[in-house]
Amino acid sequence: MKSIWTAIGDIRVAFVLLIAASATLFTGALYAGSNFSLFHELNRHRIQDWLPGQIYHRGVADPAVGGR
Amino acid sequence: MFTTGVHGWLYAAVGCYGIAWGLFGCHRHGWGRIALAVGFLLQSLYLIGRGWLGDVFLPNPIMEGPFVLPWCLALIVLVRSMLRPDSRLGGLTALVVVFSLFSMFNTKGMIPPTPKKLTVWAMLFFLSESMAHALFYISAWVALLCLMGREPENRYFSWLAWGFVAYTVAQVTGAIWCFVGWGNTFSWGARHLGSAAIWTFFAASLHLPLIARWRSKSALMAIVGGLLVFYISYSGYLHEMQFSRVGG
Repeated sequence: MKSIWTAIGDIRVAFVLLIAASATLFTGALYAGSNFSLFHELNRHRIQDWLPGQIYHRGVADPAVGGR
Repeated sequence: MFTTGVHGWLYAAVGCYGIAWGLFGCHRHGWGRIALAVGFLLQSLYLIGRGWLGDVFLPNPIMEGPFVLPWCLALIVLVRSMLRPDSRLGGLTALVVVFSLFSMFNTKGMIPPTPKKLTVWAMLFFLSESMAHALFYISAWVALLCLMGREPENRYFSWLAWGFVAYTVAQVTGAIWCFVGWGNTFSWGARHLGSAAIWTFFAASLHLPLIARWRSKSALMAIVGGLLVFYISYSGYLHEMQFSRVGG
């Protein structure tokens, strides 16, 4: 238990997580610039409501993806 | 105001910055400081004049990033030259010149502000964000000199830390402005996501010197951070050049 606590409390983990968050946010910023309406919907919905809707609509729009 | 719409004031300021750069390069620190101070005064007058571009005074055009960023850089270099007269300022003054040149070619009119932008929180956000960007660019430049062995190791770190403080102030004031204007402290859009990417990146950079094995990469992170800030902010400024403007 102590070794797990030490591992997750390691400052290297904080660094890697922050860099991963930065990379994700930067990718999001690039996509949000060209997909305004897609991201704007997130201002009115929770992520757990928004994400299934996007997966479903994408499936419907592109049958190759496996939509109903 | 007498400087409103008269771009000669800006061009003269950039000329003075160029002269200051040359003088600092020739180790004429006293004259360089005077040229920098004159340039700063001229640019300040030009910026104040921008406030009347819409015939009624509004601070919004003064705080536009491409115009206020070189002013922030010049202010930092000027204060530095007074506090530490013997420090090498040629490279930092070059940064002032380079970013001032972009403001010379930027569209000069003002973007008519919406009512949501007419709050002091918006002004505090734009000013603290530009000041943070200036500190990040200086940090990246000094980090480059550190890597080249022309500056002592870790000299860039205090610039980075102060830049992070200013950027955190910008995020707080920006969140308050967002709440006052739109009812949320965060919005899912390119601007907010880009700001969050920059903040998390520099938060990570500040952790790096505390990791013994990775400490040597810290200067490289500061340079990459400067490039990240440049890409995100200047792609936004170039996009804003397409907006319809008034005056100028």
